[in-house]
Amino acid sequence: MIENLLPHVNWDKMWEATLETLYMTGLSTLYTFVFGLVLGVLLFLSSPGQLWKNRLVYGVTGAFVNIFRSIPFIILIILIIPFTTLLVGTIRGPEAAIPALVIGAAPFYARMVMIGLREIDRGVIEAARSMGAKTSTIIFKVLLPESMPALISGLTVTSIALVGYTAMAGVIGAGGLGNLAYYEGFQRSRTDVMIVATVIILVIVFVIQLIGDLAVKVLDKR
Amino acid sequence: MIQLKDVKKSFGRQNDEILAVDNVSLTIEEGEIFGIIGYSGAGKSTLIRLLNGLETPTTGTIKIGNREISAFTGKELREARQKISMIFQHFNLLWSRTVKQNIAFPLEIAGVAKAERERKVAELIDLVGLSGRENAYPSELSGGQKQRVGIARALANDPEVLLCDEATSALDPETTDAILDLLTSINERLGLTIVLITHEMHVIRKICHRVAVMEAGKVVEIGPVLDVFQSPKAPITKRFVSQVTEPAGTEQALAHLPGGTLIKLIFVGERTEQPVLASLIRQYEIDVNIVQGNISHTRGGAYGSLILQLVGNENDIGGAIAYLHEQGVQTEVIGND
Repeated sequence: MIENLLPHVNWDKMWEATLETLYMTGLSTLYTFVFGLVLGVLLFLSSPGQLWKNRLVYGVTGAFVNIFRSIPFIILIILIIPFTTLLVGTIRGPEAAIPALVIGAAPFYARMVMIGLREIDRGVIEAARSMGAKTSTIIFKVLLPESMPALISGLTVTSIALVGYTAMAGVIGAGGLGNLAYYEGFQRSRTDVMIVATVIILVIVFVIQLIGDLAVKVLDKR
Repeated sequence: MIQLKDVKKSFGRQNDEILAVDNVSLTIEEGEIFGIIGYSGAGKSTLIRLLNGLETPTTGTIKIGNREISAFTGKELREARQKISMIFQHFNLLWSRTVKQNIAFPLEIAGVAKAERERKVAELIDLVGLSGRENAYPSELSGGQKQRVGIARALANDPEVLLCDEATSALDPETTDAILDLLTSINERLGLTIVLITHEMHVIRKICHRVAVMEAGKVVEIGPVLDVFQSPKAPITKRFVSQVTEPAGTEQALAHLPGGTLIKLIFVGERTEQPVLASLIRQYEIDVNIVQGNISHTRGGAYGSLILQLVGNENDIGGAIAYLHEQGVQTEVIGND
């Protein structure tokens, strides 16, 4: 029955591509979380009126974030090919997509982290200082826990954007569902392959959104 | 206990400098509840933040006990702050933590072991009357309960000084009184020095031993609360005192009163309990009409004010006023027809 409807779909290949997409999305989300968080916290703390207010650090970090956030992803992948070769040793396959994905998404996430941190009541930070808290204590026990719902919903959005990026990375040889849809589907005029790949990507996106929403709901005690 | 000497604090650049605290010198005794009153912008928020080093003075020195806070930085300052805690107008609790975890926070900062933390938190929850709410989140509490958490949190590291930054300004009158009672009992039981800032004379009247009045960065008047109530000197102090001694609308009521001489009597301490009026009426041929009366209780004793309309011939009225002076009742003629 399914074979008749979707004559060109090779389910083994489809499954393999799905795993590759999940692998790329998962790993790049993890790295994006770490790097984006560090950048976002740095951006927040060095901004005017904050604990480490420093024009130079704020300016440099801000410029870095803005530049890498603005470069279209498909161009970014090509621009950083030398860097990718240096880091991974190859520019093909799912691993090779990770540096580009992280460099593309981390600055985007850093902005969201900063927005989340800015929403913390200044009074709470002041209260922690009045108790004699060190800056590291303020970061780990006040800033991050108090902005956790914003950090998680930002990560959800970023992670979904990363699913899209992996599809783009697929077109230039990173594998995954994007690669399959483009080469096996579009270039060979196999519409059924494109449709199935698209549906699987949609399901991945929905599941990520669902998990994100659920996590925010559990964490948000406001 | 707390000593400020020639303290100045200015904000902004050289050209458009704002002098928030202007040459303030004062001493606060150990175990005292010291109030600082002023309208917003008077510099009282800055002043209280100088006491725990959240702000550093531009010039002048601040000593707490024998530690010169204004010279401390880094680790020294952070350790000193554990003994000078603070509560806030908007409570500033961590919403991501339960009541228990919020109170434990300063103990975590001080590096207290877990078992000891739990013992201390349980004791504090009991002290501020929050038993049964240990595991609630701040969002599930009322304003008064939130401030109780704030107070418990502030007491966690056994501070020597408690700073209250408009601690009751976001609460309704009844809750305000309950929180003020709690502060008084903490002051008495733990011998804690309390410094509070407020714009409500009611707060000063109810719990403070001494008060400083601030205007435009300067302390314009300072003294025991009862003395300040009895004879406010600066115009701004008079305004603050009238906040609690004259119910709203007094002035309008007086304006519509026909005839007679209006006098305002001020009774302090035991005088409030003696029947001065009864003997006044018996001795002089005058009609006495009570326009408005009020008794306020301060930490230093009771303070009463009474506005009377006297109708009769001039001699008798003059005699009556002289009699009141004789009796040690402060009398002021506020209107003559």
